[in-house]
Amino acid sequence: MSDNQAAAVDIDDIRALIAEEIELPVEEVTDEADLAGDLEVDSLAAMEIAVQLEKRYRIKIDEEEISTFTSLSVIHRFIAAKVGTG
Amino acid sequence: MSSGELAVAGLGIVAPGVSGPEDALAPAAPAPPGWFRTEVALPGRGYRRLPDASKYLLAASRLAVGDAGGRFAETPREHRGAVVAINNTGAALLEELDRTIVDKGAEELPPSSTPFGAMSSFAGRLSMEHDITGFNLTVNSPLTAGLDAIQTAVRAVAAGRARTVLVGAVEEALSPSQSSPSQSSSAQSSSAQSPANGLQAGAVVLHCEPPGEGEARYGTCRARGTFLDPAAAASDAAAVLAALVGDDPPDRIDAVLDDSAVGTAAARWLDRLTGEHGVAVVIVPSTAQAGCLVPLQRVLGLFAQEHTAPVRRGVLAASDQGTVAFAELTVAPRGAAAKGKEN
Repeated sequence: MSDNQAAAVDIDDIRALIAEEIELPVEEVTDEADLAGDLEVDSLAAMEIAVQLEKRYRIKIDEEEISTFTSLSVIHRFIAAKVGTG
Repeated sequence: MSSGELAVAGLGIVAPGVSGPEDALAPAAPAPPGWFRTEVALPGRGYRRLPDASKYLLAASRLAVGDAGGRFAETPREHRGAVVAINNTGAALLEELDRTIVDKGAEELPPSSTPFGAMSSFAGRLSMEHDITGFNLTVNSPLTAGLDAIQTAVRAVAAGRARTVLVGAVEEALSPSQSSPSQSSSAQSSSAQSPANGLQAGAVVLHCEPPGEGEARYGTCRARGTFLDPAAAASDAAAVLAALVGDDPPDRIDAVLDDSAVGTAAARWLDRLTGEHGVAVVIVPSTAQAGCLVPLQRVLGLFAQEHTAPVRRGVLAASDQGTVAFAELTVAPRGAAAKGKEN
């Protein structure tokens, strides 16, 4: 993944999307906050996030890929790669 | 062992136009848009995307558990149980999910509400909320499910499966295509005690414990169920209902009845009961699509009334399909009136 690909996907857009889904202020969704441990994102909420990401970025996310979503920065890199290769 | 009763220690209700248990016997009100506010009834995260009916049940359960003063939290999780009555609860949601699949495809199904396509999920979510691992049951019998839930809880407590049980009923309005035209039109002009037909929405929860162990703050209750064959309702009603209610009826019976053969036969039998035993009968008009909320709501409302001495009350519900149930209540003295008598 190139820096250009990552830059094409705004991490703050994803931050806002996640914050909306898990009903937390955007400032609490830091780049490295652990979604499960720090932000109490359960499997259902993770699935909701994935569905919204699919709609926003017009990508397909497999179920096993959702389990790799451990932090905002991880998701950002994942989306950037998907968008770049999509 | 149990005496075949439950002690009622907490009450919770969420319904349009009802501010608390003391209003539960008031005439049913239509549900205006926005009548339920999630952020007020269920502050915190993780509720917004749940189906409304699930929210009603969780909100009513919070009120009942809170009303019982933290007794639920003192019960080990494996000794907690839940019995939840539903009829129309998930019908409109199922139609919505079906429409999503047809119009947009299964991949567009919302993850948070799709599990509620399984009707046991309403009780399941309740158990997750309160860390209930003892047992968890969903009861579906037409109209009578709420009273049947009491009976089921009594049996479970008697069998030692739980020391605290949340007994609830929850309904959500049917969609316009599911509600028959006659139901909808009569709902618009609902009479004083009409249950708003297939448009009921809300939830009722009783916090129950074994009598003796538990605090019967509101009193005790038991319930029984039977079947009255609609094809032979007129001829069989007396024998079936006499056996159900027993030969020592309570002073007042609230009867949730429609104008079907079963409902009509039950109303006639209750007329005779009034004449022979002086029982005060309150008829609560029902319909074929009424749902199971109103009978348990009557139970809650009767428990919420204040008395200076114990009083006996009953709630009878009979559906057009022949399910019949009777809940027998002993309402404990409570409130300012009872205190005044003590002084």
